Amino acid sequence: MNTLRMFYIRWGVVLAVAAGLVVLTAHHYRVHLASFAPREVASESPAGEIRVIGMVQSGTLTGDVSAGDATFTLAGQDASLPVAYQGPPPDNLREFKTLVAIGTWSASERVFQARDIGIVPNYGFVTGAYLVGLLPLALLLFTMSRRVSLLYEEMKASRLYQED
Amino acid sequence: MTPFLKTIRWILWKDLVIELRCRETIASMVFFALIVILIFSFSFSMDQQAAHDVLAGMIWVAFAFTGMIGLGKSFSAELQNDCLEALQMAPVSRGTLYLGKVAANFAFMFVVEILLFPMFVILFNVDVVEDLSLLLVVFSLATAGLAAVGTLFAALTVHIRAREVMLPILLLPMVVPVMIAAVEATKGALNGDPLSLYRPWLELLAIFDVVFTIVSFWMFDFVMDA
Amino acid sequence: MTIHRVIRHVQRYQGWVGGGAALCLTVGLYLGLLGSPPDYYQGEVVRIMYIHVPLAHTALLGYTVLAGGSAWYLWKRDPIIDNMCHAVAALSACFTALALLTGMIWGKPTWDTWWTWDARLTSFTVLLLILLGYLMVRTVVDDLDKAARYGAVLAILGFVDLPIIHFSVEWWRTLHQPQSISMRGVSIASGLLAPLVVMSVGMSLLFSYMLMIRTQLLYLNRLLDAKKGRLLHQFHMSKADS
Repeated sequence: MNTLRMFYIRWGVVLAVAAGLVVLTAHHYRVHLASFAPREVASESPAGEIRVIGMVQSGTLTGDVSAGDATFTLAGQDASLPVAYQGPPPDNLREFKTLVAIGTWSASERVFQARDIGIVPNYGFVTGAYLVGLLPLALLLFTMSRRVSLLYEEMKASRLYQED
Repeated sequence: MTPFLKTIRWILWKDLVIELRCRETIASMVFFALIVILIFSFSFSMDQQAAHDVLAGMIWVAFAFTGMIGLGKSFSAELQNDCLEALQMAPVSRGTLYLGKVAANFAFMFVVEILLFPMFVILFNVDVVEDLSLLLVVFSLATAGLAAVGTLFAALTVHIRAREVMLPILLLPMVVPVMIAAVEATKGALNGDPLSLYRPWLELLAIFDVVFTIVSFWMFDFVMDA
Repeated sequence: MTIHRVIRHVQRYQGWVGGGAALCLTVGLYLGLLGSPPDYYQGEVVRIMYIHVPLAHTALLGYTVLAGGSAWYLWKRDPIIDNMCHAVAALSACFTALALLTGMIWGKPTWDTWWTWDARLTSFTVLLLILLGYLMVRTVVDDLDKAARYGAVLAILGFVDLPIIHFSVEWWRTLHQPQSISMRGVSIASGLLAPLVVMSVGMSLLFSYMLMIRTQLLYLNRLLDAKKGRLLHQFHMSKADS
């Protein structure tokens, strides 16, 4: 049995599974909607469903949040956007909270009709943490196992050790 | 007096006599500490209030680093004329050797601390401390903790290359609890806080001392194994 | 020359452990990244927990193994146990460092700071320093027996110290910063528990697998060194004869 060849086959399988997971995850989290800042929404009037990221301005939140019906203003860099939300009761709708609102911009009423509200996803941090956590371990394991396989080869060559 | 205690006393006596004759360890520790104090006063230009806030921290930084010098010397000085091997060959248990060395190190560090504390009080214009006896309890408990672990590590690093570097690297992370408790208790004693406020820190120091004297006493056998 | 029986056991079982680790980690990553809902408060960022907490648990587990192995070495003086301890220390240091790094990445979005002198972060930093000190002693001491003994003594002392460090640091933090930013009190919803458990088991298995590999590595290195030394010795003896 060739130890080194087995070693590379094993790592090939590991790489394939890892790549599969990465592709699956990337597919799962792919965002189909275009993102806009509040300033861009008012000026560009995009059609169709979009995402807007901003902070709920203090004192603008009105309506019955627990019933899933609320109006508020999302503040961006140097503009704000009135939002009317209707849908299931949102978990995270509070003043000063940075949110993502998904919905459509109605240019005639100058209001953003949101159908879903969520917290800003920090995909960058999650990705970073998983890479930082797993990549060094994988690299360390790879170099160690490779070295062990080479050492066994060397010992076999020097007839120091016979496999049983 | 049992032979056990007698041996400890002889080892302590030996170290004290050597120190009395050459005054090398204590002198170098005091000078080093004075330089540390000087650097502190340069680096923070402080009024009295600021000095009051960070005094406990400065005291223990200075004490820990000067203690490191004394601890390092306690075994490296024995390398001359193969005294260390003579000690190892002496027909006494290793534990007594350890306890004798701990006692000697404790004595040196404590004397240096007693000499240095008035300097801190004078140079940083601190109000006269309310309760000196409590401060002495804090100093002795914390110094005992440093000496208990430090003596073992000094014995461990004495044969290592670059022992001057290795001793602080190994010792300082281990004595983190001692440093925290000593700083907090010293702060309390300097401020004249009621004892109940910082009594837990004193208890922590006492527990550390007992635990690490026992464990180090037991481990010293393995370190000194020739 | 026969190989040590511990190493022969390791050779026999390492495949199973490695396979188990791969399986658990794959399932755990799938559950953690895709199969679990985002947290009520933290949103997607909570997924960092599934990698951070298992790393930290495993590092502590490794330190326990290190202390146990060190005591065992001082008792039996078997070099293979010392190889195991050396391997555990290196891996534990690696896991601790990664736990700290992922913790920092988690801290940025949740607490809005990369670093805080929180009790756990501080005691993990001290743990990392102790492990690095251990590894430095191992590299600085040339005599194998001495390195093993000194390392064992250091590991046991550090293990005794660990609860005291944690206790004192926690106490110190609560004095200076009451109600500090701490994860305590945030109860873990059941949906988040499954990936956490699977990842924890997977990480422990991965640690065991890496430990098996690294112990073999150190053992084989020592064996080859011994062999080379003997060859060199024979060479010099034959020179002396002729």
